[in-house]
Amino acid sequence: MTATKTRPKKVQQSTESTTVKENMSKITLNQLVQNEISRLAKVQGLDTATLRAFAQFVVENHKKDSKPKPPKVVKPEKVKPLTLAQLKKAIFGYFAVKDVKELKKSGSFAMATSGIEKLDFSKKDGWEKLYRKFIGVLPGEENETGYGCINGINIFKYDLVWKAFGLDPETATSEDIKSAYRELSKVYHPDIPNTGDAQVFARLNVFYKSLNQRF
Amino acid sequence: MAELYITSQKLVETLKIATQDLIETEQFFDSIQDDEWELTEGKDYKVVNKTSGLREYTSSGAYTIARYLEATQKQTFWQRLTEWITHTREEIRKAFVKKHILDNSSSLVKRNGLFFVSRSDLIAIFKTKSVYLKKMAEHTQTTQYPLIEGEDFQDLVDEGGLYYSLAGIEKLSRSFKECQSKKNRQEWCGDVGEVAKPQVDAIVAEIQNREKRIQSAMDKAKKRDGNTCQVTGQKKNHVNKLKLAAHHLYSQNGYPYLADVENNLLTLVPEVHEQFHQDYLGGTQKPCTIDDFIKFVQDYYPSNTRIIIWLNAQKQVLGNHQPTDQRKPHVLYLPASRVM
Repeated sequence: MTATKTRPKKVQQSTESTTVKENMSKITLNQLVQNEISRLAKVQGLDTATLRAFAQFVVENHKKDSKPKPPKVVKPEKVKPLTLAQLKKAIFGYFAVKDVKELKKSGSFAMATSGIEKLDFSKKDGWEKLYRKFIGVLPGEENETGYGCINGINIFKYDLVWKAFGLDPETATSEDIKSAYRELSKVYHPDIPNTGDAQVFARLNVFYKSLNQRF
Repeated sequence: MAELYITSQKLVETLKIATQDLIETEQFFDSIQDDEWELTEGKDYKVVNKTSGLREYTSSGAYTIARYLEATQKQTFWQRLTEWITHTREEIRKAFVKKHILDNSSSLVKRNGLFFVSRSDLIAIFKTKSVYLKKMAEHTQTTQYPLIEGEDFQDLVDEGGLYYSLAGIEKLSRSFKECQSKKNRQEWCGDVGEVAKPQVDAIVAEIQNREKRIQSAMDKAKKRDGNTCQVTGQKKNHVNKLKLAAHHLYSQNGYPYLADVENNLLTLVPEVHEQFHQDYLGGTQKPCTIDDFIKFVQDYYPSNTRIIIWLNAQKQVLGNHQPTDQRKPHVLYLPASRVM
């Protein structure tokens, strides 16, 4: 039993020395380093083989980046933007028209857009504005972050009041609206240092007044 | 809705047939009595010219002809006629809605580049009740895109209450259309959301034109009067550079429909104009009539018999008028400054 226990150790040692030998055969230590190994071994009473192995390691790895590798960033799946045809289809559907010609003639379209700047129908940007105004959130603009983005929605680009307040229009009570507004005010009121912002707060006020209006 | 009549000419155009085809079809229908193909006068058509026999068809008459042509010529006459009748009925319905908007938008006002009408006018426009409009607004607020203050509605304190913009009316129109159960109500409310903008544009254009017409009538009246005050006889020349006023005999505020009528205008020097409005009537805002001015001239300028006679003659031309309700003037007589 004992013999069988010790045998593997020997094998292991043999393997280690082979590895060192192999490594050593790859990199030849110059005379200067070898002299220093001998000197250190003598002065410090260290094992020559260990020092040689360490020297090999240093020579081999001294240029490698010692910084820990950053964790692999999982790139978010690239969101495919809507094509011009898809944008148009959504707008045409909303205003119950067949094409741009009919859309331009549509009284309902003229009314709904009476408050917004003149649109350039030849550019995708104009169609995207219409999509944001009447259809919903464009792919890639969900859960947006940055200036003017609250609860994942850019309040300057969208009139999606409920999303900005983080409320469900079906179930929210006037108390919920008030409470959501109060919480947002604690962050965006111009008097709040660092996070306060007059423009954001003004827009939030418009949203709050809109939901709070007694018609 | 009243019976819709289609003229023979329009029927020919709609069915895309030759005039001769219609004449032959009419002759065929008239030639054999009591067969499958019948057209009854009064029910299917009316004769508009007894000499030529020219007809106008009711929808039932027009459909009978379309059916006959389809059976004999195997083309889509029925569909063509259906499209025309549907379209025409829609146009007629929209014309009613437009007229209703015209009669119920005296509150029209432009603010921050948007046109607004009052809540009470909107109730009338939608032909609804206050409580139901409230319900529809509240319903809109529970949708993804609720009414936004400043864009869709505004509390106009100086105007005395809640006003809705055209974009807001469009949103409400969608809610009405969605929540109404009766088809005619769905159509009416849907049409409001379709025609209000073009109608408001037309109204605003008319208001602006009216201002121009008033100015033009004033200029013409001064020219007619030889740039001379008709009460004092003072004449404008290049030396005195007299600023003459064109006085409305029936005042603009009380009788807006006479504001651009040249016969309702008389040239005066500013002193006399002010003397009449301020001293005699007690303020420029008080409505006046031609009778007020006749009395004023008789009291203060009795020797000017020529103008007294002229004024009495104008009274016959202009007739007697009742002042309009200044609290709710017709939208067409709103000052241009309100919609500019």
